[in-house]
Amino acid sequence: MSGAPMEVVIVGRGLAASMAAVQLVQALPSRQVRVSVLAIPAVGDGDPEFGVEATLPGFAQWNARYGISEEALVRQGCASFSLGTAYSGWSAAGGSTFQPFGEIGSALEGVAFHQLAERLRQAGVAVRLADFSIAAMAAQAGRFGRPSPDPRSPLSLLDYGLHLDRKRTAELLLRKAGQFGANLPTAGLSDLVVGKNGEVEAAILDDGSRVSGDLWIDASASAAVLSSKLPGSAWVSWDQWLPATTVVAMTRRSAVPPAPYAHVVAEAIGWRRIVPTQERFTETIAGDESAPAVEQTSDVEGFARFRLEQGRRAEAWVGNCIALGTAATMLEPTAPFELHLVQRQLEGLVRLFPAGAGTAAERREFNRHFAQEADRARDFVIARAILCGHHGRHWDRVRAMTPPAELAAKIALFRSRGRVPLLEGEPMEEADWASLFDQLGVRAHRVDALADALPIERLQAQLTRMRQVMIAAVAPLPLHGEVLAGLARRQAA
Amino acid sequence: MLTRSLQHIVVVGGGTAGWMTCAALAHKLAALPVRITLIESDAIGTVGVGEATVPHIRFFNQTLGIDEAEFMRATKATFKLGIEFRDWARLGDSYIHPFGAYGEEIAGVDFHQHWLRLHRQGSGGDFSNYSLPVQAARRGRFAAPSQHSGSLLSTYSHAYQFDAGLYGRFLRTLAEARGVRRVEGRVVDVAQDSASGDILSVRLDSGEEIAGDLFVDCSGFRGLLIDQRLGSSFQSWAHWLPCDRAIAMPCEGRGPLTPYTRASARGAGWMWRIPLQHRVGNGHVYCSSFLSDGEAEQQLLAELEGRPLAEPNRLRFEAGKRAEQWKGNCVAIGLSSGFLEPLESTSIHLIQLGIGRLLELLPLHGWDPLDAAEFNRLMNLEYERIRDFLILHYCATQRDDTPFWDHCRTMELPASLGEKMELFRQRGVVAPYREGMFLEPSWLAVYLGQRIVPERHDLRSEAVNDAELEARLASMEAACRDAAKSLPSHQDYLAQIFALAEAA
Repeated sequence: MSGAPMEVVIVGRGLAASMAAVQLVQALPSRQVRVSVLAIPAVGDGDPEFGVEATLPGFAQWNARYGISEEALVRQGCASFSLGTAYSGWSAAGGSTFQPFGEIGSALEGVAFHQLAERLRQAGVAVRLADFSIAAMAAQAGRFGRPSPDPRSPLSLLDYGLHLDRKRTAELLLRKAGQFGANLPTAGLSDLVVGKNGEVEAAILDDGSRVSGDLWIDASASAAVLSSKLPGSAWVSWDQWLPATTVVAMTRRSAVPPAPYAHVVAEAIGWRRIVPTQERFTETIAGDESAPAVEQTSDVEGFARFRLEQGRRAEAWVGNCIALGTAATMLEPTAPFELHLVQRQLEGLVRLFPAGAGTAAERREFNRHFAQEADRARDFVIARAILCGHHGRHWDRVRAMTPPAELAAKIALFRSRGRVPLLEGEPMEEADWASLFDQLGVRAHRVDALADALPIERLQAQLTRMRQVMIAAVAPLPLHGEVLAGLARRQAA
Repeated sequence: MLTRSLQHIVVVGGGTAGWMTCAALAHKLAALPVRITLIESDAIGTVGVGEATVPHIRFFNQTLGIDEAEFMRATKATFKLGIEFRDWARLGDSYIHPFGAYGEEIAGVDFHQHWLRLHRQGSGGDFSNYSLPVQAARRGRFAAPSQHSGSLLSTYSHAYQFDAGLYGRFLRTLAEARGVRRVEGRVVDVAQDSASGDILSVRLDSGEEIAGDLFVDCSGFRGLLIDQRLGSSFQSWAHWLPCDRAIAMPCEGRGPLTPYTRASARGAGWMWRIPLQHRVGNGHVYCSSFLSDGEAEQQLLAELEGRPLAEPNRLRFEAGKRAEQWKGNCVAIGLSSGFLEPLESTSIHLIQLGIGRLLELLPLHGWDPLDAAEFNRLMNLEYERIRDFLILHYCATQRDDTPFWDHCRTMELPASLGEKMELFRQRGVVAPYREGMFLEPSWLAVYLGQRIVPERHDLRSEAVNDAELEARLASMEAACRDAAKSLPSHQDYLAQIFALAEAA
């Protein structure tokens, strides 16, 4: 291919923008594609793109693929490790539950572990799914280890995500993107030139210079500075299902080593989420009415108050502009899907990156995946909300709604027989859904015939042995704080 | 939810579907208090032309603990590495759809994107040069894939070509040994619950009345229960897959045993050739609006490579499927659930999928219509995706030598296929999906084999320079060729595994 390289302009300098910069610069050949990343002016009452965010498993591996090591994320992005999310106050029975990463138990003769567990329960044996998750057990003990590549090791069932300091991680990724060849002008975005055809032509920067682009990535978070100006990128609201609209977030200093998990608490007005990382944690409080009162104490390092309009764009890629991350999808973070959706969008973009004249086929395929992935993540979040046993106006309102049809089908089939109809674009697998339902006290009426065909004694023996092996595997793992301190020492050395 | 229990499963119809169902259910449910009865009549023939399979059949056999050599001996089976398609895009064309991938990913980018880049520059050679199973098949060679995951010889899979009638008999022995009761007879009446329509019992010509809780309709095209009794409507796909007749006729084999099936396009349909140990299966699938039965038979006879071994077996069908394959307490498995022509050897696979999903959703502890809804959702997806894949063979053509091909070339496509094809044609990307048996390499084989060459390739391929890319591809091509040459001939390999089994 010859001719001038294609100019890609990323608008925004938050985490999604910096991820896009790294991936596009690294994955696409520099002779064909040039990438610029523009800063945008701050909008509203504080920047929602601050604080600590949690990821699903695979984030560190994704970064490693594009030349950013896990060590760099921990040391420069102030990341810590995450084994899942703890939930308090969600089940009617009260107490806390854990949604772990990695596998929960092991299948036997092709029968899923949650089916085996249900079979035992129906025979009168009490079984908690999380008791068979290495991640949940390690998290409870404050320990952390990486998965074993040896499939015979119980540690091969483990998986982990990260807790990242958004600002520092974005800075790290942008710096790397710059080293890899991205153009990072110091002047910020001031104005846009949109052509009659509805395509973005150029950006005017605040020093008066002009940046023209062939493909635009709107990574400006909820401001959506490009997408909100373009015809055709309509917003599909989810507020009939997810009525939390008022969010207050603050980041505080912390002297104790971070827990290797996030914590989400259901409260009368909505929910509260705590995501810790090294030396700080972010607390987010969300509700559907007037802003929750918060005390701004002296240890508060950052603070933001904003409106959350949950939903997604009908199409993320319109004309020559692609809305990325929260510019495209706004979903309350009671499960850590935000960066997963960014990753999925970027993987789709690289796979379908314009390669000459015409992008209609690529756009349609990209938008199909985008819609499916956003909607399936939405369903997982709604499931937790609609099945929440907490009392209070917010939850009563959520429980009264009719769930999306795809989610209703999942809940119904799970209640009936412990199976989940999985669709295209699911961020979670059946075992994760089974864990979610288990935490919220939803039980299956029937177990699989194939589970019934296995003798109870064999199942009991199997689970006892599994539990012993897991306990033995978790005990020697180092404490999470020690792992982080070890990585810091390596820096000093 | 009904609380009626599931104690007795009645399978109506023998044949491949009936006996596969019984063998699997009897094996998987052995520990449970569930009885299984199969009703079949020796007076009713089975279709039994589905002689070619896909690799998934190996998993089915392994699950049942079937020894490969014993099974192959009993069913006169041969090995299969893929299907050769002749004359589909243009007269004189030939490509093989193999059970295996093409080339290797380079710099994190799919192999075919790199190939495409070179191809557009006029180098890179034939796409099939990068498929070991194609190279082996073209040379008449075969060996079971290696178990060592690093080896090139582990990158393909295989299936069988066998006598489906013998396979049914083989499974019958297995099923009866595991407690399945076989009842000889013809169903003459069906008793249904007046309120729900559920089937309560069937009466045989002997007068015997057989009651059951779950009925599996394996009665073939007739759909004795699912259609005639429960009225599950038939969704016709004849406007996309217009072939509606087939004539099957085995003959004596000539020449070496090919480790692949052949599907040759003809003026108003196509002909199959399936080499077994003792004979070659042949058939002509055609569209009756474009070709008379007499002409179709003459064309088939003219192409037989050896002496015919049976009278022609004439079949009539319509492409499509039941709207509900599970309705009430009746599940249709096999031809009673729908029909897709055997162009990609999917009939036995659809039986296997139906059995697997029935086992997963078996209402052992009470009935809930949600089980049927989930079964139907999954089977519908599978059927529709196979349908699209089959239509691709017909619509991706440049043939204009007969009115039949004019129709196929210009017909309106299902939107799901039209979009997939457009994406490939524009950009060389195979649209991925969650459920569906045909994966990316299969779509690539047919798209490229039928001359759909994408207009653009992935820019990321350009990260590798031309000289390096050409060297990488040349080395992959040589590796495939050398590995293929290192394999024994199909005939020798068969003799070897039978000798080993004998010695054991």
